Amino acid sequence: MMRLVRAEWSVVRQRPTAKAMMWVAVALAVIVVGIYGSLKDSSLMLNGKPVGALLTFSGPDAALKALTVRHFFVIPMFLLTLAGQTLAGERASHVMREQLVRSVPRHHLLAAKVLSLWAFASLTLAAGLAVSLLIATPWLGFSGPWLVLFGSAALSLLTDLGVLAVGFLLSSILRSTAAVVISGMMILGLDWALRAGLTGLSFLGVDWAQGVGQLMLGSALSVWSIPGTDGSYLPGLALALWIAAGLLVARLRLSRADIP
Amino acid sequence: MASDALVTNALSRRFGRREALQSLSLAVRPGEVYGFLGPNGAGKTTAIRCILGLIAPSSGHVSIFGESDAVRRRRDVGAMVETPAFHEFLTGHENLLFSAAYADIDPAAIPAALEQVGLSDRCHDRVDAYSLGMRQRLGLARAILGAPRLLILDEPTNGMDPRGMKDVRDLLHRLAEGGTTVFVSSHLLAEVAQMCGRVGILDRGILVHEGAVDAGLEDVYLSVTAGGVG
Repeated sequence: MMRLVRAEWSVVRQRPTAKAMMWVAVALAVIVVGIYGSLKDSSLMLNGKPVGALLTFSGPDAALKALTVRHFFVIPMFLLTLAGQTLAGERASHVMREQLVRSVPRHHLLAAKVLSLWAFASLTLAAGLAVSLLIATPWLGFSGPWLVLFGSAALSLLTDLGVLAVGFLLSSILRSTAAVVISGMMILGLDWALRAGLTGLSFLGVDWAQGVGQLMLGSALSVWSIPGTDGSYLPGLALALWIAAGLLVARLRLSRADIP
Repeated sequence: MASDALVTNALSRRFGRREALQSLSLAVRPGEVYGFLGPNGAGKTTAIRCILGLIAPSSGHVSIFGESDAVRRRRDVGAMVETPAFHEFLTGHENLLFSAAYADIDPAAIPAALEQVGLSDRCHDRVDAYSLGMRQRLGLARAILGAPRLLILDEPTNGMDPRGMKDVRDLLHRLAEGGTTVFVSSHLLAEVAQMCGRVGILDRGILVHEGAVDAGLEDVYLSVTAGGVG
């Protein structure tokens, strides 16, 4: 199994999309820390107060902001794209056929692809975190919410796996990378709209709305933001279920699919 | 007595209402070069995909060296199906490293495989710069990597110039002399006649003739295909 993961890793790290993802992850960290840090001495006013007085500034605070931006739209889209290229794309371009003509079980192939992509996503996470801390800590100070930062970073690994599970689930159903990315982003958008509706219902006093909202995909994928809040851990359970369901369905579909 | 290298027993595959392969039964003996001949659309690639476990047959049974499990039976098989596909952003050598890792083959076998197909000098170029003929050669190198006991090749000379076609014929003869069983499909009668000792002719999903390659093969081929079979 590990030799398959190593083989997939050797391909993943050379994919143009993966290289772009690494650059974007690092660039996002630099940009966010730069903007956030520059607010410290900014004369920008909000509600009659300087913005710098409304925020806390430190290395870990800035890194947390960079982590927040990392999970917003761009990196999930890269993860969906990589999952699409790795499964749906390779099946459509016949590359998967070449792997399966040798004595390799299909579920091993899927596991190797998931693990190698997850490892790469973790590497981009670590790179972004390291860069943001390297810039922000000497600039904004060392003292800050380190525990929250590392808790959020650790849970970010699960969020990335959740996005990949959605990507692989869609890749096992759809036939092109573009279809995987578009449908993945549509699902996340629809999920956001439904959760907004459920939040509205919960304000109107509907008891079950909040619980259902926490079990939905978007809530599950925001599990990384739990540390530092007094939020429920229900989304953590939901994420585990979404990951298990996504990967199980992907495995079942791949094991039965015709490989062109 | 040793098992046959490849046996298919009443192998059938249906796509919707179309029967692409109908009750294909054949046996390939160890060490022989078996030609799988038929016009375009006869069902040759469908048969090969069933044999390799890429698609499930609607009915029937396949065994390779006596093993019928869809994964385990591919242990001693190297294959090239239609136009070979690669990771375009990797070099030829890197693609073979990837395949060797997947097939649990020592990477030290790669230079010899590249040498055999005459691609050593271009193996460090990216695959997206390769011509169709070079891709075929690289696909062949991948198929023979690790010296499999059974080689399954689907139209291996597609896109090759006459020199390349002759190189492939010579390579297959050398492999057969070394004991490798070769199952090669083609729609070109002359090619099969030059490469193979025995031939099976497929038409509209049915094995319509099986026998030794001899002077009368062309007449047989013309009589059993393209209207020869109702």
